Amino acid sequence: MRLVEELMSAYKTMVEEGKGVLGKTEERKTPERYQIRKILIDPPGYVLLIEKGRDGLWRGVALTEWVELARTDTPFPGYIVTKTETLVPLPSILYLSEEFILNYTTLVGSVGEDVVRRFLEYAEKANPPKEGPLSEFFKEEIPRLEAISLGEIISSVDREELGTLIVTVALTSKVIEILKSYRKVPSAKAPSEYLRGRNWLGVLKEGKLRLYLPKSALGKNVRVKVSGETVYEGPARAVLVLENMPEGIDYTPLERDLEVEYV
Amino acid sequence: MTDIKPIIEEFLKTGRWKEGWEERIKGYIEDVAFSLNLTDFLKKALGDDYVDEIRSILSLKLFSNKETLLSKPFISPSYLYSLIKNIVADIGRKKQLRVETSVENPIFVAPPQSFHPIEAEELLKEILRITDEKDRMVLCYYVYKELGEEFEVKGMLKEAVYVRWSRLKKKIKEHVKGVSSEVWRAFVDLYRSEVCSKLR
Repeated sequence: MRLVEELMSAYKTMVEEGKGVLGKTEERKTPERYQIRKILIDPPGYVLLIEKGRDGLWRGVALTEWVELARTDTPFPGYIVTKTETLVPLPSILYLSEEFILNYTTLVGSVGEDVVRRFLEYAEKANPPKEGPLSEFFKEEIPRLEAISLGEIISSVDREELGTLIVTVALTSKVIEILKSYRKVPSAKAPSEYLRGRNWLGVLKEGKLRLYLPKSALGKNVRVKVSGETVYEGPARAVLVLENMPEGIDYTPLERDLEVEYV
Repeated sequence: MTDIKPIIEEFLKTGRWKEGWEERIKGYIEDVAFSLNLTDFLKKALGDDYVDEIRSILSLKLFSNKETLLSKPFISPSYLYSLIKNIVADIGRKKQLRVETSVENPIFVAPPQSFHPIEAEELLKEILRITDEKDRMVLCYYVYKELGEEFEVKGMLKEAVYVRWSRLKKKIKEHVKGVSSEVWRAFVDLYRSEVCSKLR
């Protein structure tokens, strides 16, 4: 159908041009339950926040404004209509850190508990089409949003034995030297930090960097490098913990310098 | 490819389009409406000055996506086209949901009774374009059959209905490829009320 074809080509153009770059906001409005947040990626993603877990991560239903591309065989439970878009749920749950929400999302508005219940039920029940023109949209959009969330990692940790999914790596003195060359900051200023690389997410806390790899990496061999120096080489685990990270350092350059390669 | 980021940046800064761009944007909107075959629909939904209406929605959309737009290294004219396509489709969505395009705060809308997504309307138009009256009656016969009801195909023998159906099925198949069951159900509902009821 022409409308679906035209929208698919519009969506693809925007994804291609967006290149996964995130926009940062100064708004920094505190996340709360039942809020709709716009994720500042291009084209924008949306999330309906459900609750904050004990792990500090916000759980939410992924939403999209590409209504005609997002149909599954389960009818939408309803629509959230805003001034500039109409939003429907996707069959996907996202997990976002508070820092991520504050920095990379803006507040669209709030809905009632009943809407949240309906959307959550849909997200858990509906299945993306496996073939046909609409399957293309799901194959692109869900991984695109999940890549910026910890969703796929958390769900795999839930399912498997935690110990087998974590590997702890001690840094070599050479890597520590590289890290020490980064800008210094007062230790008390950044007790916890959130980092995001091309294909990894990291949470820095108490001298350890917890590196989250996408579920698609599990079972493959990876090489983790910092400025070309190998830190770890071996089977990928959902979480790699890098120990003895020097304290009092601004680790933002790691987003660029730390690379995860498939070998 | 032309980079229109400086044009967008200036608009986001001043709220005004660079000279000549207002007209160009209007042209983009007309092109999109035409390519989606929605010009008449938009005129009916928004009035003759539908282009201005869409232009103001586009401005709102650009401002609400300001952070993302400014962090992009490059913006192509096809990006703007893509944005307009989704805005035009959104006007259609809101019309089908019977909500105003100017809601202030987000509202939840449950699908209205006998709700027909825009794809179902579009599918109806396409089916009408590729069929003649006899085809339409044959399709009614099968649509009713699927629902456990009867439809009399006037002036055709049963064998002729079967032969026509096997040809028609192939033609229709191309158009319904990838259509979700929700859209198909809405199409059937629409087809019965708009077509079959008038052919009985």
